[in-house]
Amino acid sequence: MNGGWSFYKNRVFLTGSTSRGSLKQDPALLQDYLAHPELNTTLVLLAPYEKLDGRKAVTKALKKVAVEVSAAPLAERQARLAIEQRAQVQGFHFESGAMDELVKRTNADYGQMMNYLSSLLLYAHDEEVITKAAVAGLVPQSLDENVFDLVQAVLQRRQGQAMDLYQQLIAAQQQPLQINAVLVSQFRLLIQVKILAQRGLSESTITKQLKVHPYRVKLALQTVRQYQLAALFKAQMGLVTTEQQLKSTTRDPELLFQMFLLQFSRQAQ
Amino acid sequence: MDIPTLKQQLKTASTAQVYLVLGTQSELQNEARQAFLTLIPEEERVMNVASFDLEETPLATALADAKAAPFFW
Repeated sequence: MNGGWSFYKNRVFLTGSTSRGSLKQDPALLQDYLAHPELNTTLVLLAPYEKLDGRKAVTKALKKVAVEVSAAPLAERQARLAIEQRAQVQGFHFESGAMDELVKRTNADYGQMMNYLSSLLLYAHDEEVITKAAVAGLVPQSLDENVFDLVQAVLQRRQGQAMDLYQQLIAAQQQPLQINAVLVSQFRLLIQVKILAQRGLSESTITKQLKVHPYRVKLALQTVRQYQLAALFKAQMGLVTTEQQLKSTTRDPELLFQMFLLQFSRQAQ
Repeated sequence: MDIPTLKQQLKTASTAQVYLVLGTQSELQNEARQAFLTLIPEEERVMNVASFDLEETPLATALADAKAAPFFW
């Protein structure tokens, strides 16, 4: 028997919580094992956590013995690369702009991107090219992203487009109050990012401070560059007023939103 | 190391005794798990791969299995 075979033999996978909660079941046992690992066994610990408690003795033992493999969420650039490679291996490639669209619609979340990749590959089966149109057709936009487009339209004072987007959201069974709430939270993020950026903080520091998705911060930074803080505050105030009226009157939500748009555009001019 | 490096190493180098796959991205956890599984021939998996959820299984039971002699030798 050569060495190449022996390590094949008895592999044990330990799945699930291996830190916090469950290591408490008796960490000494694992520590014992780590001190004398079974020669013919490969032990794989799958720990779906950000990090393990480094103060614990068992963690120290683990760090010493185990080969660590990172399953931490990928940054946007790595995620793009990994998805592109995955497509390439199977002979497909992304048309220009298609990857951007996928990143936008999935918030650059690697898991989601992988999820949709299989249907994209299936759809592109004959041409072997993943088009932007295919991404737009197959990957749904979340409310947040739809509202993001709406925020852009509001800020650029494209009232017709803003009303269009609003009506689309209503047609997609979104509640006016919820749309308004997401709008408020988007503007809050823009204001926070604008203020922190003016203080000279970097993109990564802002992300850490606000504890929001890095991709959202990146987009927010791109957006706020073109607008004054005062304009952002006005929009935010207008939306809060709209929320109050949505809750206290029986007026048509669409009409209230239209009034907000008109007032915001007039003030901003 | 990251997952592509792991896959590369599993192909070329001999396996380590203990691996720790750490991180919250479930897709990557899955890929790591698959990478290990492909090392074991399909027909040997039933006997030689044991999988435990430590939310449910006592560590003692899981480790006893790890210590047991391999079935196919």
